[in-house]
This record gives sequence, structure tokens and C-alpha cells, in this order.
Amino acid sequence: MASAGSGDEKAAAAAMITLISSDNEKFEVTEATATLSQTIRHMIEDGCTDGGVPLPNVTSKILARVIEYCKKHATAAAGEEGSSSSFSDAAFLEVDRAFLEELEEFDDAFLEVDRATLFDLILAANYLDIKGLLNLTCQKVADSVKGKTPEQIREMYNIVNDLTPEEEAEIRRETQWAFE
Amino acid sequence: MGVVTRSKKRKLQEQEEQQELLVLADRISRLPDDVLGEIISLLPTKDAARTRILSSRWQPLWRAAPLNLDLIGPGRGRPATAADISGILSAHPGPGRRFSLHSSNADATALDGWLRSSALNGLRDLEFHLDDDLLRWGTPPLRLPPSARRFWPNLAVASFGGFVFPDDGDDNAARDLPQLPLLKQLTLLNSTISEASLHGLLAGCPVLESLLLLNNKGFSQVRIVSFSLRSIGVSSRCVGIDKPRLLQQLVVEDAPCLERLLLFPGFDIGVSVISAPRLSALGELHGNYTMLQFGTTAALQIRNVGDKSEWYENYQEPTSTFDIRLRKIVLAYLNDSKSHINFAKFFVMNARVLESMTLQLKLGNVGKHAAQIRRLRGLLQIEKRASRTAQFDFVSRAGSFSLRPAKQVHDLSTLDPFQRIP
Repeated sequence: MASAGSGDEKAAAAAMITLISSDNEKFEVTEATATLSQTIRHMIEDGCTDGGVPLPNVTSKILARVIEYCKKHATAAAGEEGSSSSFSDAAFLEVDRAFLEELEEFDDAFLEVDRATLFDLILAANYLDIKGLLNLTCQKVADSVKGKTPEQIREMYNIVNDLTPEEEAEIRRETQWAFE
Repeated sequence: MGVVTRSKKRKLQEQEEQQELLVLADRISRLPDDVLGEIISLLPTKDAARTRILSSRWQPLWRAAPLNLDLIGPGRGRPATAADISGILSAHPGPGRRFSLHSSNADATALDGWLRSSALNGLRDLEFHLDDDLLRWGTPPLRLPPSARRFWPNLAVASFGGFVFPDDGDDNAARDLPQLPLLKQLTLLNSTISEASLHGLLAGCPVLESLLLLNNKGFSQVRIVSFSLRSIGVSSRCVGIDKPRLLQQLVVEDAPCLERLLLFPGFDIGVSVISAPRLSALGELHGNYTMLQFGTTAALQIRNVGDKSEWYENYQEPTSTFDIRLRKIVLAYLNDSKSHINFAKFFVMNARVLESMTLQLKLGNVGKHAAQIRRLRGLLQIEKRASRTAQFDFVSRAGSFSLRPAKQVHDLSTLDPFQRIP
């Protein structure tokens, strides 16, 4: 891959991949967007993307959001690659800077979803192996749990406590420092 | 008939709602183990370990996820005791991701023991800060325990508070200095390190992105030559009772990726930026800096010599076409003395892509001093500013930054390190 000439790279950037959601909707995306997913990257490398990539675990609603994320961040990744070779280019810096700001706002807005969608996004990010999206969404859940009591967390996420009082007492004993 | 249909419809609707509730019910617990583990590892240790009691699904997860031992900072209940830490380390089988501890326990043997624990195998993030008060009362700084060495090859984040580093006089200094091939963030706080050792340490961090040197002693100058550093923060002050060598001079010799240079309150530090073409955020600068120099030919020198009450200035107009690409500048303690005004005016006139300049005044409430601010605006010739889009904010000293220094320097995802509490 590293030895590919610039002509090949250009061809690769223009190549389109078709992603097929669980409800059979087709999404056409550039290879640069699709390869933010390590899962899809490996499929492309193995040459098994002709005729589209079926994603039986991802609905069209969620896939559309995931693609929205990847499109935005693929542009960012391309920008970063370019910047290392032309950091003294003032015009480029302008773009770089403005884009980073935009990206931060995009991520914030992207996370403004209901809980069900958030979990679907987590599952999709995990299945497609998109590290940035997984980190972003997991952090959102972690932030919602931070500083809450077990009772509050159970209530917030409808978690049914199936531990016996003895088991609970055992856990408290084992990790007493966590409950003080 | 119609009535039946309607009630059927209602029933169907109720069923659907029920279904929806079921779907919503405990979706979180149906996430895969490794995802839940990821979420748990993002939590402070106590929060993380408490998830074991949520349900039988959650009970084994904390121990299966990498350990994030995070007991640093205030607001986490009573301070962690040595017994707590030993308890955590023995309750978790490892691997470890993060060991972050603010300790009032200057026991090097205990620290060495903790770091040997298998719960910390594969650690990526090591932060250990000895309490300021201990150092203030004369407790000697700690030496890096031998067991820490096993983490050097993998660490991405290291923060040492209250340590003494091997000196060039020591027999095994070269061997004992950490080599940190993957380290991205380094903080030294209230620590003692010689100039040679500091430069040796930095040379051993080939991919370092951010460096924070707060209130250390043992070196008076730092020279930065780094192709990876994007952010530097320094301050010169010291806790402790012995007479230290404090940082007086920071020379950024060659840092092609450097974006942020942050100076925190303390004694003045002379700053010389020889090559940092990407530098965009600089602050907070005091009007009486010993010397601030841009480029190899001094573009600006403000020098203070002799009697404290009398500033002697050696202000040179820029002699080269050296390009100052600063976007954000913070100037502290501005008054209307000639040296302060010249100092600030230099940036007004020369920073062509300036976005914002924050000028901190020694006033309680800037709102009550409109006339004075008008006068300052006039003296600074803001009308003739080089960057037409630049914002000039006059703020009172009482307001403060909303980010802590570590975040201002290390968190490169925050775009404005100088954001202030509104």
C-alpha cells in the first residue's frame, strides 16, 4: 500500500463502495469514507466488496448516521495527512483550523440523540470497528453514569437487579472501598 | 364494528408501546462485554467498581475490563488510603490502563510495591503526584521506583509530581532515565531534575506531543528541539524549603509542529522562539518579561534590568520580515506604562492573523473602568491593528481560565486553551 503511486491513490479516492443495510437500502460512499471502518477496510483489502457490502446488523436509519459521521471524519483524516507535508502553508492552516472547529461542533451535535439511537450507534461502531465513533459514544454513556449511585443508574437504564441480598453483600465486602 | 376496530387498534398500539418499552428496557446491559468494559474503563475507579452491584450481568465486567485506577483530584470523597490502593490492586486481575494517584503518602517502598502489581500490567497512563503540603514541609521528593521501569515501553501519558530524577552525577543516570518511545504527554510538577537529565529525558520521548513543566527545580534553561511537540506549558515557582534553581529561560529552537506555548503564573521566564512556524496560541505574557524574542534576529526584546521599580526597556522594532502567525494571545497585568503598552502594541501591529487578544487588567471589575479601557485602546492603536478581524477583550484579573493547566496544555482537542469562565 505504501508504495502505491499518487495516481493509484487518486483512483482509490474516487472508488465507490456500496453498503447495504439490514433493511436492504443501498448507500454509495467513497472508499475514503468507508475505510474509517476497519471491518470494511479489511473486506476491501480482501477484494470482497464487489456487488456491495451487506451489513445485516445495521438498519438504514443507523447506517445513514454512521455514514454521516464517517464522511465528516474522513475529510478530517485527509486534511491531517496533507498537513504534515505542508505545515508552513498559511492558506492550508486556515482551512485546517476552521475545519477542526467545525468537527468539534459536529461531534457535539451528532451525540444529541435519544438513548435507543445511542446504543444502536455503539453497536454499529463496534461491529464496523470505527474507533473514533466508538470512543465518542462510549464516553457519552460513561459521562451519564459518572458520580451516580447504583440505584440511580439502574433507574436511568432500566437495569433489573437480579442479585440476591447475599450476593450484594458479598460484592460490597469484596470492594468495600468503592462504596464509602 | 367500528368501535371494536378502534379498541383493537388501541390494543395494538398498547402492545407496540409495550414492545418499545421492552426494547428500551435494559438496552445497556445487552451491549457486548468489551463495549461495556470500554465504558467502565472510562469511569473513575470507584464508579467503575460500583457497577458490579448493578446486576449479575454487570458483576464480572469491572474485573474483565482494563483497570483504570483514578483517585487523583478533589471531590472524590475522603482521600484514598494506602489500604484502598492495595485493596483495588488485589481486587483486579489486570491488565491496567491507567494509574492516577494524588498521594499524601511519601512512601517509596509502597509505591514500588503497587507498581509491581499484576493489576497494572501493560499500563498506558501513569500519573503520580505527591501532595504539595508534604513537599512544603520538607519531605524529600521521591525517586522513581525501579518497578516503574517495566512501563516505559508502553506509556502514552506520564505525569510525575514530587519526584527527583537521576542526575548526571549519579552513576547510572543514563540507564535510569526513562526512555519513553510511545509517550505523547509528559508532565513534571514540583520535581527536581538537572538540565542535562531533562534534556536527556526529552530526547528519550521521540513522539511527545505535549509537555507541561510546572514549578520544578534543578534546571534554569530548557531548549526545545522536537519534531512532534504541539503544546508546551511552563511555570517557574517552587514549593519546598531549599534554595532551588528555577526555570529562567525557555528556548524553542526548532519545533515545526508547536501550536501552543502557555506560561503560567510564577516568576518571569524569558522566552525565545527561534523556529515554531505553526505557533498560534501564546499566553499569558506579562508586560515585564525579561525577554521575549521571536526569530533569530530579535524581533522584540523587552528587558528589565536593575532596580525592580524602574524598568529599563530595550524595545526593537522588528528588523526582519519574521512572520508572527499567532492567533490567540493573552497578556497579563497590563498597565499603561510605556513598556507594557509597547509590548502589547507589538502584537497589535505585527500579528497579522490574530483572532483574539485578551488583556488582563489589574482591576476588580473592568465594567466600571470604561474610560480607562478607551484610553488603553487608544494607546495600543487598535484602530491600526494588523489583523482586521482581531477581537480585543479587556478582562479583570479576578476572572480565570475555565480549564486547568494540564487540560490547557495536554488536551489538544480543545481549540481555545484560554477559554474563560463566563
